[in-house]
Amino acid sequence: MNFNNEKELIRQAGAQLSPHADKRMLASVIEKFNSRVAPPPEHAIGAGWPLRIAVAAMIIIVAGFFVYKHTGTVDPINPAYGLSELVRATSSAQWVRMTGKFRPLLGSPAARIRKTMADFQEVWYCGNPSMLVVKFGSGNIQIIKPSQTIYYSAKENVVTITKKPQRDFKLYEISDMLESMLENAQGQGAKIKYEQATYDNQPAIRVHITRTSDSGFSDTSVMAEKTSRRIRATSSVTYNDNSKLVNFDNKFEYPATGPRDIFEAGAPPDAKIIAETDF
Amino acid sequence: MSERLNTGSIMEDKLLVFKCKRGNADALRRIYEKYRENLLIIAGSILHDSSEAEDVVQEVFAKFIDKLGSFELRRNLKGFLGVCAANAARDRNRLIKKTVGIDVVAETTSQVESALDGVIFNEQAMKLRAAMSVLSDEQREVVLLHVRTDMSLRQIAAQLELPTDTVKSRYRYAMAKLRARLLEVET
Repeated sequence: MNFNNEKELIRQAGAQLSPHADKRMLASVIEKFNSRVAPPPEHAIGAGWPLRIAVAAMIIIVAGFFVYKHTGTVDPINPAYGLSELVRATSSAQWVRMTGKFRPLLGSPAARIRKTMADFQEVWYCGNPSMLVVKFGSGNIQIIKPSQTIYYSAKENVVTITKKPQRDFKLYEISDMLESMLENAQGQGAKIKYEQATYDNQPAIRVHITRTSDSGFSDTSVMAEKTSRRIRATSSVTYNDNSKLVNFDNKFEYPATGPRDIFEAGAPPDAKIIAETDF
Repeated sequence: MSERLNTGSIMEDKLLVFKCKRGNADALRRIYEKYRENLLIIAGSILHDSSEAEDVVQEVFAKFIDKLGSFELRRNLKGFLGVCAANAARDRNRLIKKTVGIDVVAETTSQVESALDGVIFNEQAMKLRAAMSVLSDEQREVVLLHVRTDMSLRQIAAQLELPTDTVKSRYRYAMAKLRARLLEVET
């Protein structure tokens, strides 16, 4: 036997676990992994359709809108700014951009949601084609489309494009989200009061929404009088135990267009691109 | 002599590690499936004990998961895991020899191996394990890491925190002894 044969013998040496032992070991490894590894907060969005939409869209974006459906009582003195008008005005927007602060409050439940929300810096929603763009304070960016997720890691300067099966996934239209949240808000009963105001030297309507139950949204928003669209909001979500989950302080804009891909969203042109399909 | 690195595999590993760090259990499953055999061979050849080898592989993955948060894959995941397996196997060997005694270990090992079906070694592996018994733990470690993980002797020296010349001489003497042993068996 010569030198190469010895090396070949070492290379060809094989071993495998019995199926039972293999299954047991893999289960043990995965269990440890799941119990020890917490994904970065932003990745909570990328995990599991349609849950991610429930988290990303319904909470981030819809929360800004659905407060208007916490109604039951609309101040009769100014019915012109009723909810249907807001829905109509919002639904007509092709792009919505939300910026501002989303402050998680200590001591509240849903810690995972708090972590997820804490780093959000800017959110874009496009109605057609349907897409959600989330920019994080860390510099990371995530774009969610019905058939793929595009994730830019600022630390690694890598763009990962993950193609998704389309099943079980629907990126809600803004109007769908509004309607959904309107239904959910029924029965929570919130008082809504309108008052004339100015915002950025423009005529505006300030809307106060006061929860009347132990839990739900409280909100003070500014609507542009001309468009009936919400342009500023400070709001909070209160849980049944009277603890607050989050405080919002956001600005809403309705530009004609927005970032259509990860590079327009802010990823540098030299970022490395990795394409993959979902496991 | 440095083996040519499998660039495609390393790129895949980088992606898998990236995904693991983001909490993707499927990526970890892929790493496990990709490298468990190699780790079993390394651990099994150093330990001569199937069940201990199985434990070592599990220990390697447990440590990998623990370190994942700060882990940066710079070169070769196969090599990194291989070194972890070799280290863990060597530590176990020392512990067993210290607490039980070499003679007793040899006897117990053969009994355990016949009773367990956890790890199944192929014919070459059995032949290799028999031949490797003439090598010291340190020599086995260097040979296995070099041939099974595509690491250069210089890289192995760096990983084991040993002078490169020491690793080179261990490898040279080990291969000579292995060759002689295999010739002896054949004749």
